Amino acid sequence: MTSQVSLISEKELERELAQDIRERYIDQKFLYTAHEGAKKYYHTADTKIKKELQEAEDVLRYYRQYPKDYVKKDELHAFVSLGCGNAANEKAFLQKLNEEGYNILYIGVDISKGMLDMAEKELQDIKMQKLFIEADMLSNDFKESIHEVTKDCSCRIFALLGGTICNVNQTDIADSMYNLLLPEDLLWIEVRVREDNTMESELKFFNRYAQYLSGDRADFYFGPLKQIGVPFESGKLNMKSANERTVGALNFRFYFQFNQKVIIDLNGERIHFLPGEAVKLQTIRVYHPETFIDFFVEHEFEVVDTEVEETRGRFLFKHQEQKNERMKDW
Amino acid sequence: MFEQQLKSMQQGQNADQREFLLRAFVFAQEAHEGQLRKSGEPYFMHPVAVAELLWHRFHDLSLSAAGLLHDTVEDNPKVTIEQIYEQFGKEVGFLVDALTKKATGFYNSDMVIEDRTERLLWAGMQDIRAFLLKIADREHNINTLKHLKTNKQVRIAFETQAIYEPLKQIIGFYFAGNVDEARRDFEQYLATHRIETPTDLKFDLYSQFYKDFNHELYDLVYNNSEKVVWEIEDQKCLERMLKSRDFEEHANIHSMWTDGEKFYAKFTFGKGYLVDNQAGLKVASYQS
Repeated sequence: MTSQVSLISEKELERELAQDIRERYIDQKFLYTAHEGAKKYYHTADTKIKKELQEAEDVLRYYRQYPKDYVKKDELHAFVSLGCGNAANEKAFLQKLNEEGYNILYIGVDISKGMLDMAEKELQDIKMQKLFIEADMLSNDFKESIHEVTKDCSCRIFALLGGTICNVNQTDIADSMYNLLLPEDLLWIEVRVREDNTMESELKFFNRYAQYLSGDRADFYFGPLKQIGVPFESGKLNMKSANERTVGALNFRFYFQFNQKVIIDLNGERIHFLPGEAVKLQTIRVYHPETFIDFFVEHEFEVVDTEVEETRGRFLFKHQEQKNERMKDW
Repeated sequence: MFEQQLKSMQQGQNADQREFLLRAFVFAQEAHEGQLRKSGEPYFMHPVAVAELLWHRFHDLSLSAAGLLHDTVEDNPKVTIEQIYEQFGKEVGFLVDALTKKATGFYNSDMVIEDRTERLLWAGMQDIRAFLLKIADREHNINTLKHLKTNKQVRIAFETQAIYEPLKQIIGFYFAGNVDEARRDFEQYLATHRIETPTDLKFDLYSQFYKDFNHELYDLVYNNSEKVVWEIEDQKCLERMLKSRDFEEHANIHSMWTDGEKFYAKFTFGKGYLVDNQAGLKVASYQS
């Protein structure tokens, strides 16, 4: 009932990382695929707190938010967790839905094998069909594969929980999701939202994320650079906030800035980092809910449901009707 | 209209003094007749308010008369600076001359100073009352800034922050008991800081608030105030400013940066606003 497949080519990943390094930008997936990246992520302060919360309010909220009205209990539907991590987000509510007799095919998708191993272990006691796919959720390989493995499902719920969407290119993910969804599918997105649009709230988030510049989180961010041989003492992490108006997000961008010259060998090629150069490591986004919704509507999604509670927002989308018609023709 | 304010200024003065103020009052009232402030109120309310403020703070007759007359030459083409000198004497004439922006020189003087700010600073170095008048004028205008176009608001706020706020502190605008005390404080400051020219004074004043500034940059910022992206490095100060909703209403933060030790935020002013005196701003860039 459980299987794990990989759509990842190690060679391809190596090439992509090398290209990223040349462009002084590291795709966030490499944070998780770096040596012990998955473990390091779950060691950070934030995720430790989150783990404790999961056993209480998070579980109840996810269960309440699951689009139960949208699926038929006796028909098989797929729940596809994109960037599932260790699957702690979905464990408890899947258990509860399973006990209530919902017929679910669980598909956990993550770029990191380490994450998928943790997820498989986390969900091992839940008796339902489970498939773990090691893949880049934005790749064509994944799109083709997911259509194939879910062809017997009456509908599919694609979920980006725990703020997974906040680290990736927003236009890319909106377009990819649009092209991935079929008319009967749902897209469930959970993000961190701003209570208000004041500069004071911006500074509050700024101070919160500035804490990531030290301790476990800094270690996590530095993972890919460490893997290619960059010494930590050759520079310093920094963070810059900016507004991304199209999607209504406050961005917190993390960089490693060199303060001394470093030369590394990467796949047989020499790479020179000079003092002052910076490598972009990750972007975290906090959204203004209404602009976030507008962004998806502009990408031809229809809003099925929204729920905003303090700093968390949950949004359910499906294709706009016009698109449904086109998909039928197709 | 405004007779009440005139009476309040005339209280305790002798007949000649009362008559002098009345003449200045009537002259200014006629010069500004029919003119309106951007807020829609009669323009004359402004010189009256300035004169009243000066009278109650410094009890100097010439200064208050100059307060009433300070915009007449600038705002009425039929009024000349000669008339002011002739009808109200050298002291009032000089003070009104100092505040008249269209001039580069002074009546009956060879002195020519192209830079408008330096011209006023030179005048204040001759007669401290030119500063007192200008500061009172600016105090009243700052409170009614919102009625102006936004680029003008931002420019006036910049000039006030750069020149008049530090000047206000130096001469103890709110603490000096009279004109002589203000003069003493100012002269002592010039001596202590070895300031001899209006150029030196201008540099000293704007350097108190703005970092890495020079005359060229001052002019650039003055002429493009609303396009300047400012940088503040003091996070605590920014936090203090953000606690006041006023700052939020007048500025837009573009970005913030930290490496865990150092910090900066970059922002622009959308409207005219005077920030915390400790803010220490510097120019980061210009936006189109």
